[in-house]
Amino acid sequence: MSDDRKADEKASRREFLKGGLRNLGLLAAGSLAGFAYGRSRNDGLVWQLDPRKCIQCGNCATACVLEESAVKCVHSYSMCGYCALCTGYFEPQPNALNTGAENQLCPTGAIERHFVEEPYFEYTIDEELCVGCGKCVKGCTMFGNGSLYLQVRHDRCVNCNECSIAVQCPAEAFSRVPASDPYLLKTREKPA
Amino acid sequence: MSEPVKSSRRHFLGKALAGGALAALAGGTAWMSRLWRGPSAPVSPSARRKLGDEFFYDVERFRHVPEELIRYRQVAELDPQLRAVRSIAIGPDGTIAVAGEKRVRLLSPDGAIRLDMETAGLPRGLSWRGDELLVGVRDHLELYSPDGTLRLAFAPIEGAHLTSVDLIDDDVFAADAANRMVWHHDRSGKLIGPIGARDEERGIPGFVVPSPFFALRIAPDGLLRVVNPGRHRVEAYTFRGDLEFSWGTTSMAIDGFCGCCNPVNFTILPDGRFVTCEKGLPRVKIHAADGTFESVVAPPALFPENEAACAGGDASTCTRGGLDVAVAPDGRIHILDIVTRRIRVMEEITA
Repeated sequence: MSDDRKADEKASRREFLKGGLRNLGLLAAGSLAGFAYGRSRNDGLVWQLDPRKCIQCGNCATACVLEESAVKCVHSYSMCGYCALCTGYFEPQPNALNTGAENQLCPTGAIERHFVEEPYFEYTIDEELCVGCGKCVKGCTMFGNGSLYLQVRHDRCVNCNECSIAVQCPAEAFSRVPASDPYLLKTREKPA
Repeated sequence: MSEPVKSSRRHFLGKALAGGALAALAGGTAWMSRLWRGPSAPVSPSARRKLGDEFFYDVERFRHVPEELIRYRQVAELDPQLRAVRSIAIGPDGTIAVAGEKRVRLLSPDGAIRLDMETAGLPRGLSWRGDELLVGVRDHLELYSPDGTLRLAFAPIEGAHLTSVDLIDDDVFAADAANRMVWHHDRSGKLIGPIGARDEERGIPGFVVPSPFFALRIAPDGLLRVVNPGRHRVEAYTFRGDLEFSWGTTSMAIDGFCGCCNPVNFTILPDGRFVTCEKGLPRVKIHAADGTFESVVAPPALFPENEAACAGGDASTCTRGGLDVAVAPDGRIHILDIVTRRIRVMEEITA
């Protein structure tokens, strides 16, 4: 009788240990799967700048680890007013509304102006020349409808673990977005 | 034995309360600083040091207005208590009408709410002539009695976005920012025709309207004044649609209009002078009947929130800024700030 009880106790302890080990194994497998899933998600994320939070502080031009920033100005043509007096293109008080260098706002001459039809002009960004300072974005946002804005260009961005611009961004405008949809584009706003 | 425990508990509670208050204060300050960023606050000093001043947009010299040009002072501030406001008009008895939300709210001259008129949508344009209040609601006009009775709802105009309205005798006008046209109706609501469509033979250049700010008023000289915002000028049209003349200078200086769409709104004083409102650099000015700049009613410094709305961040663009203006029978100028949703009452400084 006593031997039987001992045998039952042994069996019970073995069962308990087996169950415990099985649970631990499951837990470990779950953790590993979760970790792997997290890693895979993380690998699929890239840095992007939310243009609706951007305050054009200038850090994008200077804080990037690249010699020439990965942040560039982009243009939403659907929003643009094609203004003759584009405040993103012209100095605040230009001598004349023409393409004279002295009238241009961009210090690197990265915006091109082309006549469309009276009185409309189209503005395009020369990315080779753009340094991402956001000066034109400020002019466009302050007096226009914000069709010029900054974006991290993913043909240049090296996707650092900790983006050095994001660290310095006073507006906390940088976030991780899915690599499959890496841009936060502006679209035409409906009048309120 | 029990005394030290009590003292310690009191001490602990006191410290906890003080700590909590400090934390709340710090949190509140941080929140407030995020809520309102000054117009010139965002520039990074290190970026400016590395890049140089030429890489930063600077309109500081235009923000400052010499004191001698400012001929009005604020004497009151009224709160219409609306979550969104778009337009202001004042009746012959001094009653103030403010368009916002889905209503027109009538206020006494001291700001007390008198009446709410429900409209079919967000009203943007208002005009009060005699005992009639004309309201532009998205794509159609509504005509009210001052007691709130709807007299007539005009037929909708396809695709219209009405931003400014006015009427006199049998003529009713509405500025349509979406179609870049002024619509002329008679008082029964019958559409007479458009005004301002591009017509080279008639010398009409067409309206350039980059954003939903497109204002008009009927002047005491019997001509319709319409802002051509993309060209920074005020154009005078006959009721038949002939362009007579225009005035306005493209400039960020105090005597001109700048940006994509200024002046955003205006009204006309009984003597024919113009009171104009601008956004970007929010300022209210007076121009003579021929358009010559005369003086400043309110400089940009009076509208920090409105200017900040155009300064970037927090999903803002300058289409959310803007001011509207109306003149009371006593000559006081009422400025409606679309961002703060309040009315500044300005009185002329005498001698």
